[in-house]
Amino acid sequence: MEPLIAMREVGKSYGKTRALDNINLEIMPGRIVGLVGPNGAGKSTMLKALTGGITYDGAIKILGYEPHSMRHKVMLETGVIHDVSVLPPWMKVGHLIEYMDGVNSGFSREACEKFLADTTIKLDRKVRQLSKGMKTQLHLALVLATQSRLLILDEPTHGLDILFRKRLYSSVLEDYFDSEKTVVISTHQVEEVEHILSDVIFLAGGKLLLYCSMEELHAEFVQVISSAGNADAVRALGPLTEHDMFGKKVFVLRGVDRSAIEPLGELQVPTVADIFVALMGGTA
Amino acid sequence: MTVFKALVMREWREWRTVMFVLGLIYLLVMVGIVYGMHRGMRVHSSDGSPGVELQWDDDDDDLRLRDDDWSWSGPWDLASFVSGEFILFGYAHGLRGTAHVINFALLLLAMFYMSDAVYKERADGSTYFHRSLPIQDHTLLLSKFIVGTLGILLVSYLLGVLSVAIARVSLPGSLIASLDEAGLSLSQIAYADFLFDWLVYHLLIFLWLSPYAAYFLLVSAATRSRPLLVGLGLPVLLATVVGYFTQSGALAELFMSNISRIGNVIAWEWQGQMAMYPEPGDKIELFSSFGRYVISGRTVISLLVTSGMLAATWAVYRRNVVPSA
Repeated sequence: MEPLIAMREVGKSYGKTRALDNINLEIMPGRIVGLVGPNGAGKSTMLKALTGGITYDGAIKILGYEPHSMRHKVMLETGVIHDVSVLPPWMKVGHLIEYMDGVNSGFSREACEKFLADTTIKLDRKVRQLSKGMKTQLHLALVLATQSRLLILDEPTHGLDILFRKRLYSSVLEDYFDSEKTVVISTHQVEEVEHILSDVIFLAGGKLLLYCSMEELHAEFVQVISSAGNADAVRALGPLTEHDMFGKKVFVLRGVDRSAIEPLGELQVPTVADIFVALMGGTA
Repeated sequence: MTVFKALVMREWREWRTVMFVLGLIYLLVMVGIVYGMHRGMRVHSSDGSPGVELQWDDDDDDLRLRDDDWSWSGPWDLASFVSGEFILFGYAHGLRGTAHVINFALLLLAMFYMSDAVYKERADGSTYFHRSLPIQDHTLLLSKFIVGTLGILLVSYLLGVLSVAIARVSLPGSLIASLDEAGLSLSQIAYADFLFDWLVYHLLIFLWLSPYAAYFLLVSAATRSRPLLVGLGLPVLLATVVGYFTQSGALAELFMSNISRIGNVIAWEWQGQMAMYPEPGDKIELFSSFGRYVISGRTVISLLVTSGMLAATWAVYRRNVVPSA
């Protein structure tokens, strides 16, 4: 099976700042990939490179095309939702749907209107009259109504309340995702999407820190909650991080034999955020 | 073609409020002209006799309309003023003038449109939305360029024709009667020729002013703020700086001669008709032909410069300059 996204030695510099540094990865169809990293990690730069928004060093193939020169081809099968509202504020919802219908041959007007029928968004309202949540819903409806194979969500829930956030991700799962499609989600609120991710990418300082499936992640990392008496024994195994919690010691370890640490405390599956912080040396 | 149609429709929807307002102003002006013309004629023909009744004010040597406060400085050739020839002469000039005023207003609109065309979508962030759609950059930019040039010129052409039509059907009977007395007729005006000449004139405007339209589009794609100000200020600044260092106004003169060239052509083709005092049966053309200017070295240079500007706009647009506003 051909990868949907392939990046080879991809780099990008802004002046003296290296925003992306030698990124190599492949993303296969049917995956939901979380892109995790602190501010300035290179997440937005990576998504811009993937969506043809910037030039870069190295090579990228997305849906079989080089994204910068063939952006229009890539976008025929790619939906993108950004962190801020980017829909033209002066347009009426109905006109926006008509516009999408005109410029995107894979767009289904009926599907979009059906999606919007479940919301309070009216076709005769202008985009600027909608709340932030409604704008995101509208954008999602436009994107989900296209026959895209790839969905890129760049901090899509930024500024939305919990109800909208939940609804957005359930829509992505129920109305969009299947084994042929891929979703790339960049978010700071990784705990909200952790349960739907199949893979995770950690970026820091423009470098690829880790890229693996959630299964591999859970097999590789383990969290141990031990008593103070066992702490030194755990420390001897080289934990990535250590902190106190309710009088106990909490460690995150990588690549250790679980049978060796089981007697030392309670084993838990660390969250993606915990693992990321651990890989960052507890400083992220 | 569907994509292009959708893009043009988008531009129309974005700017239609401006167009409606301009259309409304145009209609009000036309209604005002027609109303004023009829009211004036009714007052001055109150005794039922055809023609315009005027009286001299011997005290201040002015020509004064009876029962009216208007006055024009004299002395006037009263005989020619009231003659049918003069009415036809004034009517023809009125048609040209009205058409050109509309044309000039719409060229100003084109300047505003072009300077905002790309900048506006960058300023409100919607450029990210448009770039996430399967539209080629050159198609999007071309749609803006065509709407801002051919689209606006089409409106100018149609409004010019409409004005001539309105003037034709709304001319007061008293003036037509004066024409009849002199053996003249409105049918002497070559309306069909006007339709063609006016079209060629707009083609010429498009060909010769395209570099300016493309320049404002480039500024719109490149500048981080106030595109209109930057677009107007840059040539002035450049000419001033070059003039200061070279102690020569050559660049400023080049700019001015380029800008005024189209105006000169209009004047030549208009002034060519100024000596018109038609005889009965004469064919009256509102303009000479602009056709001889269309195929010219200036046209070739204009098209080359326009192509260069559009290519530069495309290159800048792909860099995705984020405005500071």
